[in-house]
Amino acid sequence: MKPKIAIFDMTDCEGCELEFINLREKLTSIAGQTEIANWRMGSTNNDPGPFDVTFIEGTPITEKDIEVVKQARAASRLIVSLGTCADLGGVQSWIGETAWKKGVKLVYGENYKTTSKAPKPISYYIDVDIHLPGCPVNPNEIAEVLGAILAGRKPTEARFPVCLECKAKENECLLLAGKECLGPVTKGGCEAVCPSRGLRCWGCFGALRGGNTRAMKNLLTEKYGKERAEQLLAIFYYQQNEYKELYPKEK
Amino acid sequence: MSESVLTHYICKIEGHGDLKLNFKSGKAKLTIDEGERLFEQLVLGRPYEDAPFITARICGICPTAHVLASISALEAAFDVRVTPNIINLRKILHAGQLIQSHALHLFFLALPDYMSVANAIELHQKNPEVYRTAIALKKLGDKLTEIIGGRAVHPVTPVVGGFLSVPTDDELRLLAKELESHMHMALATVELFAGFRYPNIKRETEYLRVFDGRIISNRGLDTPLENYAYAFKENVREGSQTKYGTRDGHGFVVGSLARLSLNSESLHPKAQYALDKIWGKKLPTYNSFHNNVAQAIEIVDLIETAIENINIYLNDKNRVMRVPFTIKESSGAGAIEAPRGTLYHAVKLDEKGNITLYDIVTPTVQNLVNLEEDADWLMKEHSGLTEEKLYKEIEMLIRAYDPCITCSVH
Repeated sequence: MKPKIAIFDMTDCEGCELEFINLREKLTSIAGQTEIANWRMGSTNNDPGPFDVTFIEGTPITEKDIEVVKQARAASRLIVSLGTCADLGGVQSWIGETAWKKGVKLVYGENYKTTSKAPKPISYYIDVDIHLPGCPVNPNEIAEVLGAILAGRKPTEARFPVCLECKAKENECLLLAGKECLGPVTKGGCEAVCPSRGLRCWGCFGALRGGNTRAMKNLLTEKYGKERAEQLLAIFYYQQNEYKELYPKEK
Repeated sequence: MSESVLTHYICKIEGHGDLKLNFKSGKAKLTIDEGERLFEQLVLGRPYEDAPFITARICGICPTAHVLASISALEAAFDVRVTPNIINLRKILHAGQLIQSHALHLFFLALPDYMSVANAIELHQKNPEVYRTAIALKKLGDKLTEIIGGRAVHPVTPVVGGFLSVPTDDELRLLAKELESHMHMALATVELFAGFRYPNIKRETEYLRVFDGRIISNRGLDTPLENYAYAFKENVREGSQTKYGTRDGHGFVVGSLARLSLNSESLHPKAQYALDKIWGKKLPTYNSFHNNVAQAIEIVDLIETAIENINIYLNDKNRVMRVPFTIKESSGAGAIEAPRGTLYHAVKLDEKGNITLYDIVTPTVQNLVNLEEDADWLMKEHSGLTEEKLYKEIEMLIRAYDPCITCSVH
C-alpha cells in the first residue's frame, strides 16, 4: 500500500508548503508513489486520517491551530515539522509573550480581543519525529525526507554549520568582510543560498547543536553593540535553548 | 468523523477561512481563521535594512512583492534615486513574482473546479497537456525570481538602493530565450480560461490600482499613493484577525481584473491580442469570476515585459548594482502592484535609520468587502440553486478573487 501523506498549515506564510509545488516534476513522482490524503491548500476531498507521514507547517496560534496539531499527532505515525515556523517558531515568535500581547493592541486597537496564544514551535504542543527547518525550507531536503521514508531509512540530517556549504561554494567570507553573518553557528542544509548571492546568513535554520553561540554573541556585541547582537540572534533562535542560555531574561 | 478539525475549511486558497451562508437572511460571511502575525510590531526598533527581509515572511506566495514594496517605502524615505538598469531588473523580478503567483493560483487552486478534479496533480493523468503547461509556467516564474532574486520563495538579492548581486549577461540572454519559448503556453492558458463558463454576475463596483505614484480608480479617484489612508478605510471586526477595507462604506476591487479594466498602462501587443481576439470581451465586465482570465492575460503581458526589460538592460552601458544614499530621520510610503492588487508599505525612521513605525495594507484586505457583496448578490440572484450548488459557486467566487488570508492577517 502507498504511504498516506498529509500536509497541514498553521498560522504562517505558506512558503514551505509552496516548496512542495516548487518540486514540480519531483512532486509528480512523489504523488505517484504516495497518497496525498489531506492537503488543504492543494486539494479537496480531504481525509481525516490515519496518515503515515504528516508535514506540519507554521506556528500554532489560534485555538483551532492548536487543536489541529494535536489531532494530527494522534492520527499520524510520523510528524515532520516543515520549515522554521513549525520547527523553531519562526520570525513571528522572536518577540516574547509580553511584547506579543502589546503588539496585538498596537495592530488591532485597544478594544480588540483575541483567544490566540503567542507563537511557539509545534514541539511545544506535540512530539516531533523529523525536523526540517528553513525559512523557507530547502526543497531538496523535502525530497530527501520523502525519499528516505519511501526507502524505509532514516533521512540524513545536516549536522554542520552553513559555513561548510558556503566554503564549498568558494564564497568570500561575509563575516570577515564586516557583515553580521550568523553562518558559523547556524545549522546547514540550505546549500548556503543567501551568502552565495551576497546576503549575510540570518540564521533561519536555527542554532546548530554544539555550535559556540556564546563566542558568536561576544563577537557580535563587540562589533555591533549589545542591542543589535541580541536582535540578530533573536530573530530565528529565540525559542531555542541556545538563545535562552545567552539571554535568560524574557523581553 | 464530523468533529474532526482536520477537514473543516475552504480548500485551495492561501490561508485559512471558512464560508458561512445564512440562507434566511441571504448573507454570506467569510470568516478568517488564521492567527495574528503582528509584522508591524516585529520590525519596530530594528534597523531599516531588516524590514524587507522580515516583511517578506508575511507571504510565501508573494514575498517578492513585499520585499519590493518595503524597499520602495524606504527609498522614498531616504530619497534614493536608483538607476534605470536597477529598475529594469526590478521589473523582471516583479514579472517573475506575478507569473509564479498567477500560475499557482490559476492551475493549482482555481482550475480543478472547472475541470472536475480534486487537485491539479490529478491532471497529470487526466489532461497531461494542461498539466505540462501548469508546471512549465510555474517553473518559468520560479526561474525568473531565482535568477534575479536568488531564490524562488523569499528573495535574497534585492536591497535598498539596488541589488546585492546580479545575474550574468549570459544568464539573462538564456532567460529571454526561455521566456519567448513559453509564450505559446501563456496564450494557450488564456484560451483555456477564456473558454470556461463562469457564473453570470454583473455588479458594478470601483476598481483601484496604483499607477505612476498615484492611486486611481474608474470613479475618478486620483491621489498620491502616500494618501492611501484617506483613500479607503481599514475596519476592524470583532472576532476577525483581518481588517476590511471600504470606500464610503462599500467594497472596492484591486488585482488583475482591476488593472486590466483601468487600462492605464497599455498592454503589450500579444497581451492586447489575447484580450481582444482570444477572449474578446469588452472591459469592464463587472464579473469577478473574470479575474481568472485577467490573470492569464497578465501572464502574456508579463512575459513581454520581462523580455523587453532584459533587452534594455543588456544594451545599457552605464550599469550599476547599487546606488549610495544617506540615512536620515524621515518617513516614506511605497506601493507595488502585487499579484492580488496594490500592496502598501509605509515606514517612519529615526536619525539612525531605526524603524519607529511601520504600516502595511495588503490587497486582500481591500478586496474582502467586495467579495462579500458579490457573494450576497449571488445568493439573491441565484436563489433557485440548491444550497449545495450555491455553496460551491460561492467557493469558486472566493477562489476567483485569489484571496491571501496569510497576507491579510499580517
